[in-house]
Amino acid sequence: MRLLPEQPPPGPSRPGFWRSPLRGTWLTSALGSLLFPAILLLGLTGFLSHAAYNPALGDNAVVPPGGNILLFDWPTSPSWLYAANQGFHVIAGITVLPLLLAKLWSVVPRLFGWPPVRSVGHALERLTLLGLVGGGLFVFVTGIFNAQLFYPWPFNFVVAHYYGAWVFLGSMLLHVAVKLPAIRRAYAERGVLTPLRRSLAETRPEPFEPGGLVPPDPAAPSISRRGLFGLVGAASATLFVTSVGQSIGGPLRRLAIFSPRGASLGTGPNDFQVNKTAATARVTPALVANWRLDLRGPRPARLSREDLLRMDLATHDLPIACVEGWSTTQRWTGVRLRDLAALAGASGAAEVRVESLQPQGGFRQATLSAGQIDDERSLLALMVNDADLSMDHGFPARIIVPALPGVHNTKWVASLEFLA
Amino acid sequence: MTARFRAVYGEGPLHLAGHLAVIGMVGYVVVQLADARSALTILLWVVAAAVLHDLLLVPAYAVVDRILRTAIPRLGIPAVNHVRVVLVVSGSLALVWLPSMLGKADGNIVRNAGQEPGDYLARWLLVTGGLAALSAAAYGLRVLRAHRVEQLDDPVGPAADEDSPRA
Repeated sequence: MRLLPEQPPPGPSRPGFWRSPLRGTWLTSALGSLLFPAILLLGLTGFLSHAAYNPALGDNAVVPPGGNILLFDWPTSPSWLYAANQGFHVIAGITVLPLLLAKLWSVVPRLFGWPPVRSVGHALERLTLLGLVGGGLFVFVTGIFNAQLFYPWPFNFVVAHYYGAWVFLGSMLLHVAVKLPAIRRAYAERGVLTPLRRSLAETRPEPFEPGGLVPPDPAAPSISRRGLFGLVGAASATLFVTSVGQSIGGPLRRLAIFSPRGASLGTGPNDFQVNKTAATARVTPALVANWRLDLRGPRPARLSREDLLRMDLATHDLPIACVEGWSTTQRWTGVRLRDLAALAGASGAAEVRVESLQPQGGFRQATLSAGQIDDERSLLALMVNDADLSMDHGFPARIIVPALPGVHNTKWVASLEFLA
Repeated sequence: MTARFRAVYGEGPLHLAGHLAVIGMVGYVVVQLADARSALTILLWVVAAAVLHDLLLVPAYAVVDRILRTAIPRLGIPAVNHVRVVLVVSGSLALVWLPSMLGKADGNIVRNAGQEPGDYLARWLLVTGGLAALSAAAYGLRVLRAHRVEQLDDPVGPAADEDSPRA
């Protein structure tokens, strides 16, 4: 009993439709061998980024708690930890896209393979391949759009990107396990690097096998295999050079010509990148007039900005680093969080819940850990680069904690509630 | 036993175990997303991403490449890869930054970052023009060098063009 004809219909399901002389198991193995460690590192930095938000504390969780894996008490040292992690995650993600597309190009005849389903096992494999290809592209597209503040979807980016990564990574590990014998055979037969030594004149198709990736009637090569890797490398290098500046900062920032945070903003003390302006957060001058910090704990207190400025102030150079991958290091001056904890009679507090004057939004509050309160460099900052904070940077006072994700460095702080 | 399993299932038992594990995990993810009330939309985006890539993007570069290979005259030194490198690099930039280049994020850049958005499309055109000029210059150098070699080594011309596709 046969539902489909034995011979494929004319078109891409016929092996003769495909002509590229470079397609073959070795090429796909080589592209995959570069892509695999890159995706693992992207996954690792992604999960670290999730852990950096301390989602188990207070109302920090954005992702439903069933997704909390690989959590640990996020450290405060080195202070550039989150900036480096997130810069790597975003810049590497952008950089690796051409490699992902080349890998998918190398196997596209498989999509149209005939018969579409050979067995139950084959059907399950194709189902997980949809998770691999669709999930992978989904994670890349959402991440890349987020890095340029473009949100054409109705769902929460963090939740979708996070769970998309689960599907992508899970199906990728399975895929590599299934394909490992074929990869090893390709390397054993063709050599790991040997095909890359061949010039265009020496480039030959891999041997044809029925049902394989090599076309039965390949066209004459017009590029060598190393030429193909060169094309991918040139695209990746260009993407890297034109985006890494948003994370590194300094003179390189000007090279990030397509990034929203690529421009230099000026030379004033408050002329550095803003995640969300006061106007957008609906924090008005009226809202900050007659401001008092609401300090809660065993000994509650209300402190004016002048009260805070009369306390023992500390100054530290610390980065602001955003989930979008950009970061900037500035010199912050303010009151140590541990001094404020002591003032509230809450020395050694387990956590502090920080709330903003900002009336709405998921990040109008954040909860910090004991280690973050206790770090000598964790500040309720009042000044930046020896000047008062501007409204956009969180006047009258904002949190600055080393290695903390940018949005948890709450701006326009209204209250600090120390919890034992 | 294993042979009978293989006859029914088509692959080994380990294959089934691995696939059930991953499918089970995807099920768990869908349940988690159901709490976030967005599972269906996300699923739609995942499938759409695969379909758009496989049925739009890949055929697009296949067609462009075929046009390249047939349209570029096959003179002495093949020029096709000098065009390919410009299209691949510039195309990758466009693929990543298309929303910005089309001004789709301008509102958010003003509202969130408090900055004037850059003229990303003009920058991309400049970069593309620069790449094309560099690639053309490299091609010109190769042609010049081939001519010099030809003059020195006469009567043998530049290496026979084995690379370009035969008609």
